[in-house]
Amino acid sequence: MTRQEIETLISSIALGDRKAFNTLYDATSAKLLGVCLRILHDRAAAEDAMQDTFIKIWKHADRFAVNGYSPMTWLITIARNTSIDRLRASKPAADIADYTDTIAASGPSPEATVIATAEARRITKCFGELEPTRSAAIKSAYLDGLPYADLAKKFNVPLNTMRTWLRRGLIALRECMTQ
Amino acid sequence: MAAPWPYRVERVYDTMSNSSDMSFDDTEFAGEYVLRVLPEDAHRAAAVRASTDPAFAAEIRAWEDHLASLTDEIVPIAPSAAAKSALIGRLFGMDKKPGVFERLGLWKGLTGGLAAAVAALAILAFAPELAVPKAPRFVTELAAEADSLRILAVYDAGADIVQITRTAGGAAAGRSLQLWCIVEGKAPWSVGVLSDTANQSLSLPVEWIEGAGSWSLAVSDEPLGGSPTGQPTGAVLAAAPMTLL
Repeated sequence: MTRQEIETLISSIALGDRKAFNTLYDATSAKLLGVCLRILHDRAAAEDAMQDTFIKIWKHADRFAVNGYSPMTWLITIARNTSIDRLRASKPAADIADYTDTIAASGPSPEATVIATAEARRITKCFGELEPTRSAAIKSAYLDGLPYADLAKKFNVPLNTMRTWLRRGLIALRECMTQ
Repeated sequence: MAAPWPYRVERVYDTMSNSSDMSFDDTEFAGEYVLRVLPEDAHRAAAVRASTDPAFAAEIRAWEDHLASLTDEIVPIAPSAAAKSALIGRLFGMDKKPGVFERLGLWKGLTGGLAAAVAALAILAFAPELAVPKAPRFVTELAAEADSLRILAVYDAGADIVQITRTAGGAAAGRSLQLWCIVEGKAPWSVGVLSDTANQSLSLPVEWIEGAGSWSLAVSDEPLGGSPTGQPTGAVLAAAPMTLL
């Protein structure tokens, strides 16, 4: 399914189109369940988080504006945040829907979109150029949903060291992306 | 957090005044926010800032986009059929009777404004009756190509009127739209010429009141004021059978 097809489906869902919702579910639920399971490590919990994700997609589809960013990013971000909320068993600190309005309103220009797409392709290469510990820390933060405190334990380093690794990793990533 | 936290949350607010100038700090902070590594207070501060600072929000969005590609390595896992059933049940209430418009499938393809118009109709036309189910209700939607015209028709069995709501389009300049009731084996019967208003009630002849389930409705393009012959003379723009809800 192409990016444009997914965008069209989300637009239809925003109007309450259940058929489009069904199609989007069939096309993306396996990917999103994979994301949820990666964070939650429990099939039942992951399926629950995946369901919650689709409920948010149904309810907030009207907040997804076609602004040049990948619609899969939007779906994955909701799935990941929903899973992390569940993992931490806390109420959502800042649901994706809470700020998507602002972000949609400040969407990039067409030029910026082209750049963003090119950058997205470049990130894999840039991760490869990071120091392995920094790359591993960022990947673990993103894919396992661990906060600094847990990352520090996992990598067996002091909290501030972990923060330095991760922030320097982010700087290096951004520098690599803007080269 | 027990250990002293090196990050000063106040900074988030300090930089709000010159928000268009994204420093490296802001970029990292947005990245940390997206990663969700920050302690609760700093995370909340970032969320607040994202809601008021478009440049910072754009930083967040950029990191979301970049980092989402990390999930490329995640193998998709098909969910169980039960998960889908449970989801549909939670969202649409599988065991409940769906609402009038849900069963109509009407929302499909409507623009936001049109959806609002139909929602308004739902309140006007259906709200009093929803609580007290009455006669069988028949509905149809007449939609012309490319949504140039959309008409919703509702008929309660036994009533002598059919309720029309135009949600998109209208007659061409100097022309009229005419609604026809069609039953197999009979000549089309003119229900009436559509007015310029969105909502309209058109009366039905007694002999047509029975058997709404076998009706089709059609709308045709006619000379101003309606067909001079009593039968459709112009193009049939849309036609659809009545459906029992």
